[in-house]
Amino acid sequence: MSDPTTAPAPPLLVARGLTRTFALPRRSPFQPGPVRHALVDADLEVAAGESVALIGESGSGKSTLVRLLLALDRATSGTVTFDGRPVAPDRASRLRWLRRQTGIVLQDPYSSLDPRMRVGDTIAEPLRALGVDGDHRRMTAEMLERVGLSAGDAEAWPHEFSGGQRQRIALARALVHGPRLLIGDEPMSALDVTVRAQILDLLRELRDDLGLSLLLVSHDIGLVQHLADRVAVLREGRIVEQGPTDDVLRRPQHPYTRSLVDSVPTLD
Amino acid sequence: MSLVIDDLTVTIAGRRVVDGLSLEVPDGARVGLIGESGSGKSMTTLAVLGLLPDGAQATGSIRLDGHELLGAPERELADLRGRVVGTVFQDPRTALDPVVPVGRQIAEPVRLHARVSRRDARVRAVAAAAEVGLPDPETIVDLYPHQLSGGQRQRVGIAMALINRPGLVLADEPTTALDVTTQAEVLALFQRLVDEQRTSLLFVTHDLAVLARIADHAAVLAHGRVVERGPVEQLLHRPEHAVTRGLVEATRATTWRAS
Repeated sequence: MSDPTTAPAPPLLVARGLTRTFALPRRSPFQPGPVRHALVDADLEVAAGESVALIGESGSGKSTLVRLLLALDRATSGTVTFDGRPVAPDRASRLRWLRRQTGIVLQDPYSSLDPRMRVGDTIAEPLRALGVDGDHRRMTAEMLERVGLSAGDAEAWPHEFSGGQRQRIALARALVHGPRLLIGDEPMSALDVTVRAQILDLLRELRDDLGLSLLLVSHDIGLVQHLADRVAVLREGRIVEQGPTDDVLRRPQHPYTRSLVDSVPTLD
Repeated sequence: MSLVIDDLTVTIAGRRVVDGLSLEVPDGARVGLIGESGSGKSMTTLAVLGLLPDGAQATGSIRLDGHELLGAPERELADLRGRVVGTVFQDPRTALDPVVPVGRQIAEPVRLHARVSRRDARVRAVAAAAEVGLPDPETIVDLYPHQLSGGQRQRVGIAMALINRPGLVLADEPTTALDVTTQAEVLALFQRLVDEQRTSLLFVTHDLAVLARIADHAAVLAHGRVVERGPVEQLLHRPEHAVTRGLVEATRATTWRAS
């Protein structure tokens, strides 16, 4: 009955009722200590090939959510599945399947690359760590070219590159092992505006060519508008609104989303 | 207070990081200086403050209300900084001293430039904290920077810069490290204070959208030179130089479009 052209892609990543609380120092030895709710009852889905953005300000719970989705932290309650398999912290060897399916790019390309490792070794590291078969040198060289650098750059050191080039290297490292989901944690916020435009184009191109799902964590509404299919808005640990990007950003239902959108400086 | 920079060249280790820059901030005007990393923006502000790194050589002229700053003795420049020229930097986390209560930091420019008792300095700090919209000023002045949010720390930075009612404020990417809603509030605060105090403002940024909110005129900087200048409206909508056009296009491709 279902029409294959309109049927939604099966969800790749599913979070249900995710909650994470942190115990704060007790104020009195006779009473339970206060608790901070970093994340409360969050539901999130990322379909295969879909780009989803998590927006919210500092302290809204974005990073807590990402850590739970990647099994870097244990939820107080709730579940995460990736491709139907449960995701929870475990020994590294038991999480290898998840690491092979995911890649991450962080905010600052100056601190995310090891200054004492050649670019090629940095990019190839996930291949070794995850026991990926094949010719690592060739895979590294191909990845370098894919992100707009040259195969010869494998021999160079991180300090020889500009911020934008370093973010390309970080992308190559995040994608070299062929993950299906790329997570970007504020991947552009340290870059100059013309470089941002270039990295945005590259992200789009890689996503489309490799059929990646994208989970973008950002407070940059502009970037989200230009990259994401759907948006979830986090505030004080709760997802206050989620839906297609245009609906949420242009016709926000929650007052917080409206204030967020209204604050963004525009050229018009 | 007017600032006139004429043919400023700054050379560091044989490299010209500022190369014949001329720029004018008329009395009471809000002027933007825009450019990407390495364009010479920050070196220009440091030159105005007489805080260029050791070994840097500066030629040309920087006049504040007609008074030449370039080559002026350090004693004179130190007297201007924080009294006549206020400065707000990008990262309020690194610009503040972590082990000194924020109230004492807000009042520091007062204590540096005038004989003021500790009690009077505190009163001034509380008033300045209230003026920049810090909550519960009587209490907040006794807190340390880590006890404040990023937006509050930047308000402390602004309070410090404005406490002596300077004639000129230099702001170097003062909202870049802030969340969007905080950024909007801090920009609005800046605008209000500058208007009320009729301070001249030189606002340095790489963000055209932020510039459009705060400045009337701007100069576009690339490789240490001004490549284009004019009203902000004109730069945004009818950019002439390739660098300006590139900045505008890249901004349009990456920033929020409401319609």
